[in-house]
Amino acid sequence: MSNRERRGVRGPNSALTEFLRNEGITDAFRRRRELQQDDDEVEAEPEAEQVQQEESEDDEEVREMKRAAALKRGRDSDSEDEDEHVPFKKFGEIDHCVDCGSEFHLSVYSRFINSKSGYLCENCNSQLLQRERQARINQLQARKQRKRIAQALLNRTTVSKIPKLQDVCIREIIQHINEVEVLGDIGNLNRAKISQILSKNRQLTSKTVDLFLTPDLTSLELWDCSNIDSAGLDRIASYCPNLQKLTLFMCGQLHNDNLKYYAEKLKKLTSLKLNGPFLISESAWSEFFDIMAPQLEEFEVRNTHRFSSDSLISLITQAPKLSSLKLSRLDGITTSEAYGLIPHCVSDLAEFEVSYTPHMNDESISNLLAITGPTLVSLNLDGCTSLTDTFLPSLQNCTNLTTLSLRQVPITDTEFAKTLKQWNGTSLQNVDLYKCIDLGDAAIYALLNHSHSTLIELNLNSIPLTRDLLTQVLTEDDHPIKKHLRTEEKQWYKKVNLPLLTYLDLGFVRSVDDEVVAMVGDECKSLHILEVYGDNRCTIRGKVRSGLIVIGRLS
Amino acid sequence: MSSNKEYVTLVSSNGFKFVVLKEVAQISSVLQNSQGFEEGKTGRIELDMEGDILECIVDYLHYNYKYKNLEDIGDIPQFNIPTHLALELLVKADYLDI
Repeated sequence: MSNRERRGVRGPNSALTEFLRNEGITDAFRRRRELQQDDDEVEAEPEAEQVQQEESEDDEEVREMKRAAALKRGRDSDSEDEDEHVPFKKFGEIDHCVDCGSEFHLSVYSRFINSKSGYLCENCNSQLLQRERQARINQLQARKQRKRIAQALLNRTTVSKIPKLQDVCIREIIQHINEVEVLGDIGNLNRAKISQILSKNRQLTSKTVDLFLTPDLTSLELWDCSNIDSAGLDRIASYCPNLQKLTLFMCGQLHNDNLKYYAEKLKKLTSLKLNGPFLISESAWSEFFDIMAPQLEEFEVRNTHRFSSDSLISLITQAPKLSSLKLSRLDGITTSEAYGLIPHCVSDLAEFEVSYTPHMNDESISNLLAITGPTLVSLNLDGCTSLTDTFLPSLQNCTNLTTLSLRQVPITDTEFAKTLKQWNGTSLQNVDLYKCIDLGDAAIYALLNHSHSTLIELNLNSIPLTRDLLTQVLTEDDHPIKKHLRTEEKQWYKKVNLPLLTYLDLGFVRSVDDEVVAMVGDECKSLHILEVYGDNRCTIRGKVRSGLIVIGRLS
Repeated sequence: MSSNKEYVTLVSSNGFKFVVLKEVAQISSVLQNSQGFEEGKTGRIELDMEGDILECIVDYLHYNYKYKNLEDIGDIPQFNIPTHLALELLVKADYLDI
């Protein structure tokens, strides 16, 4: 017996072999039948048979027969040789069905049931086949449904809502987008929806983009321009001269000439947001700002290494109306001087973001907040790794701030807690402290007390919180355990209500377990999404109130 | 229960008439609101759309009516529309708010 065979590796099978196997007609079956016939009819020539058997010793048939026999013997150890008790019947003979007991004619198609060591009649066999088929279909459907639920979970929605007829139509249109010539009067909301879905499916091309360009358009958002060529981008300005707000993301094909053309044509432009315009050179930026900066109110640029310190200076020195400035991942700005100039040039900013740069320092941000703090609504300093606790006191100037994002900023627990305790006049709505790993219980407790009534979105990913904090802020103050803690004068936290909280990320907060998840769900009535990635004590068994989507649990 | 059995007639611009349960028609907030006006008395709502579009809309209203209580169970079949009507249907669906 070769090695290959012993490992159970089988060669290619014909369709007939496969069919016979499915019908329960195996080699062992045939062999049993042959032997039976031999015993009955050809009693003579035992030697010849012996020889034949030896010859085919290596045959799979024989091995399989032996295996079947061994199995049978193992099962019915009392009966030495079952074949003697239940003699085999030939095809065409009348047999009794092992399932229903009725008589039937044995045929090649009759199925042998191993567990009952007998044949099924045709009726029972077809019923069994039907059942097996149904089971397979059910299994497939269950798998599909599980997949749908998982997919929906990742998309942060729930399954099985009846779609609106508009959504059905949009789905159909998206499928045949290349045949559409004009979208017609479908409403701005639907138009935006189609554009967003096309962007998501990466179907927004030079051809399809024309569907969204109309002369009266004042605001255009295209989230994936990577398939729109330079000529297509030019058409935006030529077809829509009244544009006031333009957002182009992933605009890697945006060329110097395009930007120049926009500066010529878009006389009313006040807001420009670009992500990934890496073909625009330094000089092109400067030229553009020389013409457009005076009228710009919002400017955002992300992901380009050609936006240099000079480009930034040329923008901020010529843009007195600027109320929103967002600069993210600009590797071309290699010194902190340009950022240091921002406070001297702009005032009355409502939104400010400088993210993912090591060149933003404490002094610049402190100066900026001293000047524009009172008007600031949104502040984002994600990934500014050079910042320290030193800038924190200047946050107290921001009396109208609602959105604060400090991802991966190395601020410490005690200082942030101190700042929050002294910070009056504002209530934060969206706070993102993703991977601020030096923060801890004190800072988060201070934050919850500072803004508990207004918090809508909160990201505490990777902050090493203790389970005590999480459970105690979600428990009533007159709970026996809390009373006990108070009388013993141990560390305790008072109850915090979070009536508006809709999104909470507790990913990689290792102390979060099923019980905490259940408490969060029960206490935060508006909570819609809770993320618990990497919390290995959160399992699928935890109780979750209906209407709350918990993402990232272990199964 | 008598109010549940009331019917309204939806009339297309080219004269096709669809008689549907009032409850079914009320899935569309626009059709529901029209009941306060003359359409409410006559039980006849004339719509500015062709017969084939209106047929799709009536189909959808019944689809919605049939499955809206089964949302939790899941397993709702997909509603399909003829491709050549998709754009026009989107305009009308936007108008009817369905």
